[in-house]
Amino acid sequence: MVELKNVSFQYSKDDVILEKANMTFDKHKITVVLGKNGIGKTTLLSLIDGYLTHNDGHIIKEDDPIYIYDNPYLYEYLTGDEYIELIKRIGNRQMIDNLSELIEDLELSTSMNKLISAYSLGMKHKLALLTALSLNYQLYLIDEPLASLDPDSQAFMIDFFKKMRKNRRSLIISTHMLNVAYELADEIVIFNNRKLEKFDNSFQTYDEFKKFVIDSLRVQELSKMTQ
Amino acid sequence: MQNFNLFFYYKNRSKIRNSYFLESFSAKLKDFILLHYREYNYIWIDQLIRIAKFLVFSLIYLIIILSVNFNHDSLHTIGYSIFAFIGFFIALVCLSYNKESLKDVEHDHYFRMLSTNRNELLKEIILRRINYGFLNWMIPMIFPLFLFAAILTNFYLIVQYIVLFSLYYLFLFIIVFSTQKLLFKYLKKTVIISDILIYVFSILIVIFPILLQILILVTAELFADYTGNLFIYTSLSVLIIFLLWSLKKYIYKETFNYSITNTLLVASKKNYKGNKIKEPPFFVGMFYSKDDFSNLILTKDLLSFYRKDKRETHSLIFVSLMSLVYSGFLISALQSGDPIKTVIPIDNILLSIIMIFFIITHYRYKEINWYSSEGVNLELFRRLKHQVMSLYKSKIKLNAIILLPMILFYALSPIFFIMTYNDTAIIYAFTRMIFIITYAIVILEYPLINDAKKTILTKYKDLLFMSAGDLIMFVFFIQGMGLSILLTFMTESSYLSDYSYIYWVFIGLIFMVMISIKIRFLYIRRSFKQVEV
Repeated sequence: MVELKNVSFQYSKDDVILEKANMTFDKHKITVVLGKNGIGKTTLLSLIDGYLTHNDGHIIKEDDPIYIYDNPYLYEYLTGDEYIELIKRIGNRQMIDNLSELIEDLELSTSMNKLISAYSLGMKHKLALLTALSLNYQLYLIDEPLASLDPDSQAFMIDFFKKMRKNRRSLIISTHMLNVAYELADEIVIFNNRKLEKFDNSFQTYDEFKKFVIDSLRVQELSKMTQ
Repeated sequence: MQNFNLFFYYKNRSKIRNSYFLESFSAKLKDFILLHYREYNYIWIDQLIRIAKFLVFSLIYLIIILSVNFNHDSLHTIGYSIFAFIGFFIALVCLSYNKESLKDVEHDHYFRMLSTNRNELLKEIILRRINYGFLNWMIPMIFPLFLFAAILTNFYLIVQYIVLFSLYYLFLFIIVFSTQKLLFKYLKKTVIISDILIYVFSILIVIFPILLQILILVTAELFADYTGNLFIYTSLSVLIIFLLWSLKKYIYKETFNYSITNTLLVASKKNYKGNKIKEPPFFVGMFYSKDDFSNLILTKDLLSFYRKDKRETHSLIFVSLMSLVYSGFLISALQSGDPIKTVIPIDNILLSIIMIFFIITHYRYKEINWYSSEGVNLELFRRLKHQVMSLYKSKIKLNAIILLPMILFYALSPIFFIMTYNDTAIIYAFTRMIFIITYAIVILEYPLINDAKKTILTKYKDLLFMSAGDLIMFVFFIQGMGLSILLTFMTESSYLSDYSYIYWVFIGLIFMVMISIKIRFLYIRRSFKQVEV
């Protein structure tokens, strides 16, 4: 579980991201954070991760999280194999048992002994996901996990995230892909106007979900304009 | 033909932004130039900067020459050694960038948009790289010295120097372009052939001034009289220049008749055997300490450094060997019975050049070798926050492994001074040895601690002592000019003990400065540990 209590964060006086925000991200669930570009979704994940420090309030975490960035920083002149080995040893963690299967499923097996500099953007993203997933954490913070993946890998990752939830992992995902959010989310968090608001994903159809999300973002935007 | 003006304008603009030469004058001057640096005037501003560089180096050499009363013939020796050193460095940089920077070009948006004109852009990039090396370094740093040497000794040497520069340029052009052609042509079949040729070419550049000297000697042997000698030398040179010029035109036309993008992609798809993080190479293991985290980072960095550009690594080894060659100049000067007072300025000028290259190389590798290069990396970042000192130490070790050999060969060379059986030479040699090693260790850590401090302790915004550019000037003035000017106050005695008073005070002062900087480093390191807690 992650709990935000009256959390405020600003980069500068003119750039306030969160203002006394409260939210509870439940354990063993997939929570998808939705919001407009530049609203602060990545900042929110960075605050939960601890990379950024909030100005006010408290963030309580039961588990140590791992953050997978949308633009992962990888060591370009190591091979995929070497990169995983390095991160494993630096993190001093036990890897998952089925790592080779995961590599196979993500279609990375022929690329693991090539330099990362030769990888395409999608492959780099897959490797970053693979590395993080193999480290066996309880809480995963994932920024745009499927944006650069091919359709096959997207389908695989959606299934894999569902499996992780079944295996009692907690995932907080930030995305703009509404279909992915609909398919994965147990709960959605609408981030707008420096506040966070949570809803259950109990929508019957995707269209219903989509309409709700777009309307929520628009309503909050309108309310901001009339203030 | 496509005009790539805008592409080069932006490339040059970033060079201005990172220019240590301008920074060493004033950061405001750099900002001023950047403000007025436009697409329509950038070529002119570049030329002005080159002229300024030429004038600054002319002034420095002039002060040294006027202040030190040594045999002017030595100027030629110094000139040739600096020529060989810088020439070799430029050639290696051109060669080493050939493959690697083109790989970067592959990811450049502009390059991707070019479609059919990519080969033309690559040709232009390589051509400009050679020209920049020649115009920004070779001519401003060496030609003034040769000019003074010729004025003070023999005017006919001007012809020799012009020939030397022209031949060097043509030679470099042909080597770089033909290497490029070989790299792309044989990449799929065998890389070894092109690699061997690259090293043969590199060595040729080192012996190039020697070959010219042989040419001069041969003509001098054949024709005893001065006019005949000059005539034959000039005719032969013009003939060689003409032949090389024709070859240059042919090679420029013939280079890049390949699909560059495909070739670059093939190069990047190479498979690597084994997991070197799991089983590190023996060379890397030699530098391991008890700290596993530090060892891992060191392995990762050394592997990345070597793989990023193998030739860059080899160029460092060559540069280190060059400093060994410099030692040869010193030893031969001592053996030929030159008084110690003549040897010291030569020594200090050579040392200044080595130090400047040492610092420049240090800054060139900052994207790979410095603390801030680590960036944000998943699990690693989490550990970095807790293991600041481990990471810092591994970076120091990495930079020491890569950079110190360049200086240590030269620093240790005075061991050969024992051969002279001259007490003064031996005292000078050992003082200098300790002094240079202290100096090198301090300068090695200087940019690293500054960078780490800015990265880790964000609340500190002040500079450590001075900017990078000031540091370069400090090295040049104190080490090169300071000591040389000081020597003018010395007596004509060949025994160091006779004029040791000022000399030792000077050495002592610099040593104290270095020690005080080192103490400050220790204090800063302690602040890193506080963050760790």
